[in-house]
Amino acid sequence: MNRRWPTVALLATVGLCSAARCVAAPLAFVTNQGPDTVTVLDLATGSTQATVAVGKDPAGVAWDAKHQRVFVTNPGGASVSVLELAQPGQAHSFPSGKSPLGIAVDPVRDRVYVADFYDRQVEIFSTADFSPQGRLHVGNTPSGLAPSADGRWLAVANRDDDTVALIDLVTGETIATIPVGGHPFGLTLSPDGRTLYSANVTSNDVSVVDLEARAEIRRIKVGDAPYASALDPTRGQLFVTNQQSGTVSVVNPLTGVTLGTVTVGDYPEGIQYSPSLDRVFVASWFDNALYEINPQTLQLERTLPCGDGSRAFGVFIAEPAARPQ
Amino acid sequence: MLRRFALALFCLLPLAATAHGPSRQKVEQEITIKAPAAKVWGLIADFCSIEKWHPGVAKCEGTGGNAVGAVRTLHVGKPDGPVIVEELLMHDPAKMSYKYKITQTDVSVLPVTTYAAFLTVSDNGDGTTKVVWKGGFYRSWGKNDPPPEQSDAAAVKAVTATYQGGLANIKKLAEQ
Repeated sequence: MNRRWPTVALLATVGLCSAARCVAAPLAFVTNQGPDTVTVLDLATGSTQATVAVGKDPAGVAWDAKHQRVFVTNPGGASVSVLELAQPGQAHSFPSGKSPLGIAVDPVRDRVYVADFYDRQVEIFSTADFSPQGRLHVGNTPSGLAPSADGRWLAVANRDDDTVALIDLVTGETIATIPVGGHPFGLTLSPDGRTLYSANVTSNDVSVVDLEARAEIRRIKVGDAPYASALDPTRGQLFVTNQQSGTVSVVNPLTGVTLGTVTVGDYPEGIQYSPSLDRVFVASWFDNALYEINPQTLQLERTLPCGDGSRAFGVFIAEPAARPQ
Repeated sequence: MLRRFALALFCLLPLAATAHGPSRQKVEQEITIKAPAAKVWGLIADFCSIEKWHPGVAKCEGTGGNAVGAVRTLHVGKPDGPVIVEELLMHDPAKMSYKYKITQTDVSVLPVTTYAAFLTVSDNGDGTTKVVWKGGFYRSWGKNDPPPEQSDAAAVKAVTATYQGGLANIKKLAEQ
């Protein structure tokens, strides 16, 4: 199988947006806390396309496929920056809370959700004109966010409560508050939307949450201070960044069996699987780089330099809008 | 730094270990020493030897030697000074490196939380030795709007001063 789809083929099969404005090859948008920038990487070639100035201490990131733009939280600047694919190299910002961190785009509505780390709320903004659209009341230190594919609810990691809350996105009410491990941070949904995985920083494990039962059904031990996870749906492998171990744990979330441990840079944070490349990408905060893992061999393949303090917490990879047959 | 530590002896505020700022901070400092790597490592290899080489540490009480899980209790500035407790996470003589975390601090001298650091010695191959001290941590203030003395900048400043002071004295001792 040719994993690196030719650009021409991708352009020909793009669905939602006009070819001139669309992502042609998978791009990574890596937030760099130190220099207050985002590194834009072409993941097919590994080349840096741009380094874009954003707000202070950029951390969270969310790709908006519909509008072909990227939202970045700036916890040090109390703002969200927007990078337009059509205007590479520059960003504009709007104010958001006091410590915006986790961020996610609604798969259905033109809305983006921003977790205010200290203010027990998630702010809502329009992805079309960036106007405020209200807020959701959540638990303590909301961190990772994961909206359901049908836009019915939003999962929120209430870190200091050791819970994950499900919020009804129509009524804004809390549907369920589910106890998980210690200090849940990054959240990942299974492709069928029935299972949620939370990386639990202080209990060194991953909670597997059955969303129909609204209960934790399994706890899987990983490395020291897990931060976030990514699912390789083809092989059913969950990749988990361990901040203090400098590793990525690879586990089978159905059985809890550990399949491998990959050593990456110190303080790995954001992690995502790219279906078009069939690779896992991991940002290393201390070593200022994006690491590429082959999910078949569980070997490290490339190290792509980014800026100081690479975080990439959220959906940081922009995939082409459609894949060839 | 001794002076900075000494000025703050009276203020003992144990920290909640869980609350912290939204952005982890990092400090990395290094120094080149004109002495063999084995000599430099010999000075600092023992977890509790810090009382001998760090000018800010008046006393170290250790348990567990250099085994993972060993604990050192540091008294800052003078033998009954502010207390910082640290736990050994990794100790590798072959790589001349160890890693530790802070389990209890005193924000008057070190306003950090969720702190872990590596201290690593490497042979430059030309008769000189490099020592790198690098740490990741959060500010101690776990809410919005930190007071200046518990801000990100204050945390970075205190850790930087700690590393610079320690490294300079390692160099001085090793080059004697």
